[in-house]
Amino acid sequence: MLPASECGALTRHLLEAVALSKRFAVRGRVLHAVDTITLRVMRGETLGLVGESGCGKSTLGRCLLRLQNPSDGAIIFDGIDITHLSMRAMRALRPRMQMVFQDPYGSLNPRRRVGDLIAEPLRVHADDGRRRDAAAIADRIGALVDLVGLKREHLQRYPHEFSGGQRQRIGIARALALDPDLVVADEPVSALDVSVQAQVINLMMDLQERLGLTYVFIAHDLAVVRQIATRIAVMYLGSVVEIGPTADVFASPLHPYTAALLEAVPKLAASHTGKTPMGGDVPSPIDPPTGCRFHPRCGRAQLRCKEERPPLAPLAGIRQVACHFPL
Amino acid sequence: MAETTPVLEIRDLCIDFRTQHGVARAVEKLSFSIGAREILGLVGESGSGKTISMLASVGLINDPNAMISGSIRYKGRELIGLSGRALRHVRGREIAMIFQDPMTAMTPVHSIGWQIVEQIQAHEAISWKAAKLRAIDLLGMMGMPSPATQFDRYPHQLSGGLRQRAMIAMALSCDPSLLIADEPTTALDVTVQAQILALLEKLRRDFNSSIILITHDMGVVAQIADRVMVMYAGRLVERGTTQDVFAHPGHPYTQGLLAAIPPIEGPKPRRLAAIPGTPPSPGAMPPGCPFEPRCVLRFAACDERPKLMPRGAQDVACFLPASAAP
Repeated sequence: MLPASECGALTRHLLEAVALSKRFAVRGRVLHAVDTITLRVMRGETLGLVGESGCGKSTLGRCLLRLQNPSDGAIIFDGIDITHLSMRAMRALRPRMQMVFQDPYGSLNPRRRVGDLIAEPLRVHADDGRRRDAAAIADRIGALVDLVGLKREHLQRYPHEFSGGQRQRIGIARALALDPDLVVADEPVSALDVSVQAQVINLMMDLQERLGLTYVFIAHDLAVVRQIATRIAVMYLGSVVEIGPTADVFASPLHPYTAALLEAVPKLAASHTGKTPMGGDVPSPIDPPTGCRFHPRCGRAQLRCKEERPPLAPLAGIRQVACHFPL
Repeated sequence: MAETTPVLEIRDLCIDFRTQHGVARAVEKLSFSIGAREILGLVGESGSGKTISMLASVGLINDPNAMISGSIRYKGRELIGLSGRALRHVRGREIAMIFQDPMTAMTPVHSIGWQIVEQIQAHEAISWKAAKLRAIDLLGMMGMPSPATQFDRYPHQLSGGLRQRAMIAMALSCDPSLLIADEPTTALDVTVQAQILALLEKLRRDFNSSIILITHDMGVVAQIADRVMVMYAGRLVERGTTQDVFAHPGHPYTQGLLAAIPPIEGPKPRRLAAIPGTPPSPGAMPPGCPFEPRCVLRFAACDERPKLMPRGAQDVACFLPASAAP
């Protein structure tokens, strides 16, 4: 970790997005994938990013790590404005900010042994002042393998020899190799079966406790996010519509979209409720509705919602909601 | 429900594959039946054999290395051994199947309307015009906004939810009495999933369809299935009414599966109750109970393979005495 003097003032938040936007040009038109999002990620917390496909949660996650460059706004990581940092300067920061992907198979080179895959980040960042010899690297790999619950004999095998859950453990070991502060995990358990999914969620929670990690956890499965996230940000069409402590948001959603999302989750305690599900689809982000983006699907929409876009505003202390008529 | 007149009755279905390392058994002695207007949930993790057993039921396994035995009766008529031609009369017209990803089940080069009309004309002597009217009608019934316009659109122009509706419309075009839905909502967002589940319930109500719903999502089953069957490593491990199975699961695997799901409401556990290990591969099946290596309640008897036996209100394939059951 950098000495405190280089970190700027030690703040409660590790990461901050300020009016962050990401636009793509699609056939001569503009797609607002991330639309002026401002949020903070506190040290040691898990911020859950939820929303339906196309809401921009993955793009936001990638922008936060500058795997994609934002079109507008700023990203502050540990007091450093990284929005326009050079590749070289970014590279020095990379060990501190890592990513875990949905499909570990797609992000693991099939022709390399697991030991090499986990060693790769250590070798790539060998020039960061923490010079490592072969013995030090072997030690570190051994420790990582223990940490994520793999066995040492696995190191000689290839990715295809592993099940999905084990592959995700390899992906996590790679992300943790350089001792990061921040891990952005994009749908890390959604490709896994439920019994294995529980193992990986437990592992991520254990690792956070042991290593003091900060997570941004992107998922579409609300129950998974409820289990792991300290706070939750609900996205719709490129914007955050609600953000607050997970328990509060689940117990009493403020935004009608959050409420509809929660209502739509099938419950195990069977109840043929006969409730009519919310109609319609998520509109195209190329041609979003006027005013509040959710108003065409919202049962509470009024004229004002059609004309005026509600800002994300604080409500009830630690919560924020973007709605003219919150629940 | 309506056990006396099963729509589909499967007895001792076994599916084996010849592989480089010998014969691997993908499905072992699967037996069940589904009654009229019943929604039957078939749950299990990936590789448990749920999809392949249903594909075998409608003769959609083409693999020359596959060996299928047992009996599959549709309304009393044996389907195993039926010629491709005879099977085509049953499939599509009597039994229809919908898949997880409509994009792979539809051709991208024709409009969805064209594809539905083709399906209708394959099974009925009917004019293009009349078939088109029926297709538009069906699209409307499936909840497609402005169906006459949607008729001319191509699969890639539709959202995931609308595409799934188009595929259901196609599946229902010949008014089948049995619909097999393989993970129909898995690729969909949760709000759209709720719409499709409501649509499946409407099918049962308005079309008198029986539905076999294949899914890995216990929540989806709890929501709409009358009965549920749990598969593990190619075997049926538990079967019963949805209410019974969810209220008091009899098999340790069912129990573990339910406990591993993070709760969406109520108190949140500090850590989830994960099932250790991973399911066995078909080539390396344990000699006894397939769940034995992962089971916390295993004991000496588990070295043999348990049969599906009645226990309490449901059928369970487990040696544990009812009193010791989870």
